[in-house]
Amino acid sequence: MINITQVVKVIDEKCIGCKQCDQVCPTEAIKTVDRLARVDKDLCTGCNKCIEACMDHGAIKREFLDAPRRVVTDSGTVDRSQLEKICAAALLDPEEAICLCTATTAGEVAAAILKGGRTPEALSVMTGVRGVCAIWCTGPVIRLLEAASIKVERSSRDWRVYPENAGMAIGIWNVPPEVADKYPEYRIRENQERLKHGRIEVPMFANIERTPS
Amino acid sequence: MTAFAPTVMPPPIPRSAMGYRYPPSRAAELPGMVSVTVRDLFSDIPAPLMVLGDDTDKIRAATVAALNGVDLARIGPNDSVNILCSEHGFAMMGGDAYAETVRAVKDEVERRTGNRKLRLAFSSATNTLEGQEIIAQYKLDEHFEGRIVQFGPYDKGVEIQTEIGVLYGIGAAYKAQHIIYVHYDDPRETHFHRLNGRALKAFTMSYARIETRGIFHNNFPTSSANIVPRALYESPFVQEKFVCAVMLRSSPSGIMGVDAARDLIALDKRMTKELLRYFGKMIHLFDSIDDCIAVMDGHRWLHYQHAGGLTSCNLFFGPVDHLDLEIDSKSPGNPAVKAVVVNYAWKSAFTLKNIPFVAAHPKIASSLERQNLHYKVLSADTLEQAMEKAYALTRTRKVIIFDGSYGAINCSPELADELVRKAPAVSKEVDEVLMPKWLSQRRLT
Ligand code: SF4
Ligand code: SF4
Repeated sequence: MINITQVVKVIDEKCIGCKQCDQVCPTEAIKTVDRLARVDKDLCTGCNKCIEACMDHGAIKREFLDAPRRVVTDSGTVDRSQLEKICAAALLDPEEAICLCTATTAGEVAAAILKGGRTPEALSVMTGVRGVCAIWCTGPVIRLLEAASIKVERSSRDWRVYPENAGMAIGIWNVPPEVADKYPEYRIRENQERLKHGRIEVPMFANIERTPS
Repeated sequence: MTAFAPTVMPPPIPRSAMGYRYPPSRAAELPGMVSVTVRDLFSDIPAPLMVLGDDTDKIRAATVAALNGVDLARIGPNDSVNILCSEHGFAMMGGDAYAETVRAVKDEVERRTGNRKLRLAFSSATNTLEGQEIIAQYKLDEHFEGRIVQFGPYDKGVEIQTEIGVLYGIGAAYKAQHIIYVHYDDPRETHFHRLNGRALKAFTMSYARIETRGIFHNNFPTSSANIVPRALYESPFVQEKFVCAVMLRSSPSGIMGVDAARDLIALDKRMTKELLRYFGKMIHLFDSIDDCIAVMDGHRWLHYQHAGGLTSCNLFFGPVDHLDLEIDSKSPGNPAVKAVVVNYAWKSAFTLKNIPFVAAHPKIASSLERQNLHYKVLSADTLEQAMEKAYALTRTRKVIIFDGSYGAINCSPELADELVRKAPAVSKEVDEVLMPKWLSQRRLT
């Protein structure tokens, strides 16, 4: 859930159509067509990443909204057991926030997936997740998509998200034994053992949660 | 109550587009505030090489001396070389020491190798505006004759094969035949790195893409998470480029010197021992505070502002012993912090859900409210008014000021009294109980 108080606009005369803004937008709100960037203000979360990407040209400006726009997906309107299944497969507690900036929970993102969100961008539009900094929540979003058997695919020229290994592929749960033994200072085996019995707490971020089978 | 020394003047706040409105006065100027020196609290913390206001010549000499022990023969005069530097180092004691380390590395490597094309690869925490301001402030563009590449966490990535799988670095950071890693030991965020591989962390956070940062924070418990930067550091891709690390060293009392090595793991081990010794006591002194108001008045991100050389996040995420690797060490927020008064900080979406914020100006209040859904924000017209509101709200007069000071803590006499009273017991416990445990958990005995 996010309260959007500001969006952006493009100053046409300054835009050179370089598409740098397209590569950072979490919601596909800004798109360059025919060498001119265009903003769909209904999709914009006001994260300002495009302004930064366009710093050399100064073609994007902030625009404050008269009243905040709230974006939320109501997790009460989907099948709870399906929602819990997705979160459990992603090793996340539905009630825990996976996005530090917006406090969007794993359950809300799972609900958005159940309502048809199939890409990180669609989930940002539906819940606000990744709508501010996007640094730490992109991984859990991909974990949840993978948990719902949705594969995120990107061309090598698209660097908005690198989906390979960003989700469940690398984690405490699957560090190879030879690596765990090579670096005992990181207590991999001890923590893998603990995870078999439930959850591991992670400060500031969502706990790693294994539902007992 | 004991009479305490007057406040020390903290590092100045440079003007920044990242900050809340520029403060008309500093918290250290509040009537009645005092200071306690770090060495009055813990006399065994050694005297620093540099304190605020000192000439940076000593840092230059220390950098050159540290590099003396490092073989630079692999760098040819026409090779491409990136000197990696990260924004947070400029937050330490006003930033002059780190800036001088970076400049001195460039000059010395240039002198020894004849390579006149050394490039500064500058990592910003969230956006490149930070870098632009810092580069101008420390005249790094002049020093590097314009050879600077800047990047943030969203920039184009580069695939790095590691022992735990493919991870993604920032392409621009690694786009060179050689890299020299110029970093710093500031133990901010002990709740994440646990001082168990602190020197490595930047491979995941400063020079990696958002996806790899997410793996570090979300997919591992903190006592294991440093396998991620370690895997990056040990990868053939990084090792082939890695010339050496140059590390700015600090303690609560100031800047201690510079260390350098080809072997970052060996450097990390000697650095960790000293960090535990120098900062362990200060961290536990913060943990011992019963109740307080934190006043934010430094020139960077709110959670990385220093008091007595230690960042505020160490207080906010206490009183858990994050240095004890046997526990998960999750802190929902330190219940001892009853309110946070914001006089100045860079804007960040830092979440402290349960602590009320008091803004020293309505513009700060509206900014805090706009950027984050979870702050409980009260607004005042001046810092003095904000303090009055915080006193009324919390019913404590114990105030700690995070204003960037090293060597001393600016605070109220009530807090100074508590710190001085508790320091001897904290010191004893760290020496006799905690330090042996921390060292043995890290195999450093
Ligand atoms: S980054 Fe700026 S100049 Fe480039 S397409 Fe986007 S708006 Fe136009
Ligand atoms: S969501 Fe962010 S990047 Fe996209 S158009 Fe809006 S401000 Fe720009």
